[in-house]
Amino acid sequence: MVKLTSSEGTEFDVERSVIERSLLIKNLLDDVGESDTCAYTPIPLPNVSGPILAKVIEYCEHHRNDPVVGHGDADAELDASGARVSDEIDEWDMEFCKVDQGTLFEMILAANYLDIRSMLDLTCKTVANMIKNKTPEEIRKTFNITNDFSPEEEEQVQRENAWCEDR
Amino acid sequence: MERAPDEVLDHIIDYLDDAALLTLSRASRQWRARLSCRQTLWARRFEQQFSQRDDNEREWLRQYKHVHAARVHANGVASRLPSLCSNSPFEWFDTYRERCAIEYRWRCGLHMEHQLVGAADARPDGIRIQSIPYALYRLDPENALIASQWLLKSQQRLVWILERPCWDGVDTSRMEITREWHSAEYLVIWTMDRKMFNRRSLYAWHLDALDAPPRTIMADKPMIGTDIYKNWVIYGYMLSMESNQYSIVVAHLTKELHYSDTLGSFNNCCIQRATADDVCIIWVEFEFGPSGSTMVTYKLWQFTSSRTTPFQCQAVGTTAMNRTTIGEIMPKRVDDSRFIMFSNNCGYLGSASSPTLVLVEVIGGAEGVLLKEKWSRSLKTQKIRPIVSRDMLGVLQDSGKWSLLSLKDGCNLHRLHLDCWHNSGLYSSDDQW
Repeated sequence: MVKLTSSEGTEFDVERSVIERSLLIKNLLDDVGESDTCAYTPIPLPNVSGPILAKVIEYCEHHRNDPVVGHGDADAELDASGARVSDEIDEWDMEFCKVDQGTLFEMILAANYLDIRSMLDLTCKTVANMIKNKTPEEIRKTFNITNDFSPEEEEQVQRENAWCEDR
Repeated sequence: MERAPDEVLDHIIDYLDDAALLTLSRASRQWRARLSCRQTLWARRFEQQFSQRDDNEREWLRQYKHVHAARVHANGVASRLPSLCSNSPFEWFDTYRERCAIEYRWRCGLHMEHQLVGAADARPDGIRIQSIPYALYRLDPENALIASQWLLKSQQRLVWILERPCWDGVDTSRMEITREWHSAEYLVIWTMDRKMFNRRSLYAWHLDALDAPPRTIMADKPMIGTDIYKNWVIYGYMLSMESNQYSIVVAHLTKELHYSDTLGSFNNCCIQRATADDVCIIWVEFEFGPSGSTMVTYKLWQFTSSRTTPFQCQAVGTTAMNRTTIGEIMPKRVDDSRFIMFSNNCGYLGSASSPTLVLVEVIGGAEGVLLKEKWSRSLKTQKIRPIVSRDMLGVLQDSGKWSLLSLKDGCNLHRLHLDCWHNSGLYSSDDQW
């Protein structure tokens, strides 16, 4: 077992094989070695809050038997414009990401910090799907962005992108 | 989302197609700045859609950079015109959008028409930005015109001006134009005698000196074929009717280089690829005779001017192709590793089963060059046009309609609706045809 401490100081006990989906923690444990004395020393994670760490552990538990996705996108499936395909998300993952926007971004940051590639992919895919097929106004509404273009600038960018509107 | 660090944003961007990215860039100034500054992203997407392996796409980008630099200069943003090769202030985001927009505007008929009348009397004083020659088939040489966009010294703005190439020293009275080629720097016009069809000539001008007499590359020779690529000019001509001997000539538009050799017989030639120092030439040889299957021999010659024997035959292949009585077999460059031979069927194509189109791959290795036939098709063909960036081959058929084949295997791209170009504003990828 491994002990983790969230930013507020909450402690979490996790099986080593589960939390080793995080390359950051895996490398840390590998460096420390197998000795029992170190295994019970809590690992502080000052960048991750308790509720987010709980989500991270939930993710790692569910995906404990998946093959580990490494870095490098050699086999990533690309669409016509060179973007990675984002429409294949399984049901559990989809439910897992049904959280408020603030939590979703915290999850992205945590996955990025803890270096859990598949979770980072999943959460980024979810955000990408929130952006797709929307108008600029709908995007502003979704992400609470203030439109600071002047009317002239707005008209100009609209004209520039006419080719892409019409699709 | 505004708080997302760049490395996280990169991951999200990877999943966004262009439409979504551009819509996001319209959400606010900050988003526009954050997305438009990603040079690598847009350069990569540009290459994905408009591969620079494609000669036409390369030429588009070269010209775009040139015009863009001139516009920046004319608007007074930069104090001097950046040189062509320098990495001047250049935005891949804008370039990508402009390339997509141009295609969209053409498909939807949203282009503008400029009417230019009255050719300039003297060479304008300024910098020539781009040129579009008007030198159509069978036109009187004296009527050839070149529309050029200039950045005039006197007024800091871009203007279009009509010019006529100077024909001093050339008797144009009995000539008509067969074809024209032009590059960023040169204009080459191929003419033929109205009465004696085998008296053909090639003239070249530097586009910045259209008011000076042309350089005569070849005059009054029974030319059998010519091709121009990257400032290299090649042509073949018949030495005498009796001997069936042909000469091949290689010339360079910027260098004082004009080399000829007699290397046996051939009927047509094209440049397969070229560098600054050497040029690879494909030539084909076949028998004229009744319509039907004919044996075609094709050879790859490499010309290197610094070698004691400049011409070296690197590979030879033979294949059977279908030809009409007056039709010919023509080779044409696809890209640096491929060429295609096609039978330009004028008239009745016999019932022979041999193909009219053969795509050949040039494979270079340690043991020399290998020519490998990749695919062949039997289609009535007048003209072909490789579209390398889309892996497509446009074929103008007898009916006057273009059809599109896959350059990979020669299959018809069946699900092609020409309307989709109009509707999408972009080429679709293979699997969307």
